[in-house]
Amino acid sequence: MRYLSVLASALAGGLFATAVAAADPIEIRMSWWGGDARHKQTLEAIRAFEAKNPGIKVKAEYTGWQGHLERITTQIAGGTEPDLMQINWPWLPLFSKRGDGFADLAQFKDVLDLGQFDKALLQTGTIKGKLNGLPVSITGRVYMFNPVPYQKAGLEIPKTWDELISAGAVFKTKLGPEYYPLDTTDLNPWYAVVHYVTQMTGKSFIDPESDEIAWTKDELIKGLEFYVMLEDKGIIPNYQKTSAEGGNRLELHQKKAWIEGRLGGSYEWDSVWQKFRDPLGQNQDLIPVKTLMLKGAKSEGLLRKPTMMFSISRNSKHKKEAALLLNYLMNDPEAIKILGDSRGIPASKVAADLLINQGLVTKQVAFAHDIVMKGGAPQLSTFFEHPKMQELYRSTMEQLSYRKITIKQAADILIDEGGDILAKATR
Amino acid sequence: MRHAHLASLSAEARAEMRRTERRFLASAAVRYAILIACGFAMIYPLLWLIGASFKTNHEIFTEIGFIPGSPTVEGYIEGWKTSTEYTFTRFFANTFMILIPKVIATAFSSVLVAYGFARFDFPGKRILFAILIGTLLLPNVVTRIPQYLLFRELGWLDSFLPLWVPQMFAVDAFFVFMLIQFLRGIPRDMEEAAMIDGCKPFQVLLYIVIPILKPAIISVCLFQFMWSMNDFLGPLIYISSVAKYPVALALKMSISVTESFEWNRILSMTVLALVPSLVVFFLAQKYFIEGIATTGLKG
Repeated sequence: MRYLSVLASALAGGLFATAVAAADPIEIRMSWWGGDARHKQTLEAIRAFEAKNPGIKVKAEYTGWQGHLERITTQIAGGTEPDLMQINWPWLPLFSKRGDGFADLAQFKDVLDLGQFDKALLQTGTIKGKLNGLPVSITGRVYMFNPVPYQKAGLEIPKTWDELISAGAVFKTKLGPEYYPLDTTDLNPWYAVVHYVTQMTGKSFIDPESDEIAWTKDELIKGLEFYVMLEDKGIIPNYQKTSAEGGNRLELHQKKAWIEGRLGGSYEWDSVWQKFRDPLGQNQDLIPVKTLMLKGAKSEGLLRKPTMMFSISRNSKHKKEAALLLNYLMNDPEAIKILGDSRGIPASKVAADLLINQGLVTKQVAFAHDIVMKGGAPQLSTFFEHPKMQELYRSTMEQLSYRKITIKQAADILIDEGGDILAKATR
Repeated sequence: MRHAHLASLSAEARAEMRRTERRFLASAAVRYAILIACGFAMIYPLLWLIGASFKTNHEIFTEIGFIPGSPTVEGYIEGWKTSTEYTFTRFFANTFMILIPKVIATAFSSVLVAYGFARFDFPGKRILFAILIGTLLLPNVVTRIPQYLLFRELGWLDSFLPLWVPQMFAVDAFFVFMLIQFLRGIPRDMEEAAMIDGCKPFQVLLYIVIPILKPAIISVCLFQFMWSMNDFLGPLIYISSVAKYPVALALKMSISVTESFEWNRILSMTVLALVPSLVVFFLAQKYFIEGIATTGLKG
């Protein structure tokens, strides 16, 4: 009986708390995922926004990365999502197939300065003519090398694919069989193929207009042959090797071989430079370089994409206030300085200029970002990173690396099953 | 001659005895060596976790051994502060706010339902029992969104109610099943004697069944305690305010895909998050083992 009354009072406490929260005048909710730095900086920016706009209170709902998709999916299914949400770019088509899953940001032009954003970039957040997500930052894959193993092998950091390929044999004879000029973690085997074929053909894997696979089987086979050659010549460790060292999906900064300088470099998003640089310590370094080129390449074939979007809920009662907050976070110098590069180098022109001119971005990150922005990159389809496509890339490359399937079979799987996934996802 | 024979025999016997003893010692040594090696291998991850929580970040990924080279409590101090507006004090308090009502409600409702199924005959019992067991097989994913919609309609989102209230209706079929199994193994004599003495069914439950069930109830509470302590998805979905997050959510707050993060802080807080479960487990260990052993279920 006694605990019943405790329970009853606890229940009442819970109810009371929700009642109070709902009584505030204008409250907008904002959600994001991230790490320590992003949490701190975003909270600070929100407080600065509240100070400027006394009528609006912002409730921050943030989590780590894990589970954020489940959380936002449930919220959207229940119509209880926050007013302003950080949405991963590949999630956009999951929630807004016909462009009506989120509010159309173009209608808030008077409070939200879209002129700071590149037209082509805004296109990546547009579904069926409606601007569903405002790209926060752009990222691209850049080759980054650790100069230490190269120096030990008496080599320069490679500038072309040929130099990289010839480094394989030198690494093996001068440094030992455990040394590789390039690493391939998780989706990197597939990105190597993508990079090769995109340079060769100038086309991206999925056509951004029709959302169908753009490469022919023969083109894909050439790319897969290139990958198998990299494995065979010891340029990159194969899956057998990586799974012996903790698994193919173990990220670079957690790999012993990376920290100890047995891996010469990697092809990574420019935004993660810091994360992979940190564990290398004082004696090593991580240098981003201009993209490696094939002979006769039609394009630099860079993989460039918006990282994440900000979207406004279609059910929001305070869309305009949410747009005001979004504009503040993206375009207001005060917020830009607070936020820094906690979400990558901003896509907003005023923000990117301010950060780079004032030296608020690490030099190497700014340099890597410059490579990404200036290089040729065919537009990516929103479906390129669809979770099901990613699973297909992963499993096919793994089977190929273990030689469970032939190159031709792998090409068949990628094109046929990939086509099915796309057909279902776009229907 | 005879005397000499005896002496030599006893010498032989003594030698034989010593041999036996040596063999016994040797085999014990081998057995214990294997046991210690296996035990160490099993506990190594835990030792590593505790050791690593005192390491610096660079050391965590480069050194295999669990003894930190230059021990530091920086991870604990900084980790406790977190990158949010709150400290871990708040998150621990929230965890217990969720846990304690949940555990009490589970024990209360599960006992009541198990008692009903084990001791009474009522129409539809077989079907209802089959449904109850059926929910054991139902993946949680299936009910997630309907439940979410239900709690939204009730206006309970972002409160602890969605985590507490279902437990008042014995939703964990596993616990009910465990208690029923326990009750099945107990003869009804005492309950019948109590009935003859004039006990009503509820009094039988209170004065006879619950005291007998004690070890099993403690097991239920322990299981619920540990599972709720580790529950991530429930709070993640129902609780949107950071101020109401439990430890399980708070631990993942710093882990992002693009940023580097301070592993030693996360590991330190993980160690602290393990403490309540371990303490409760060791306090109730005696009953826990008894409760599990007598239901014939394995945990």
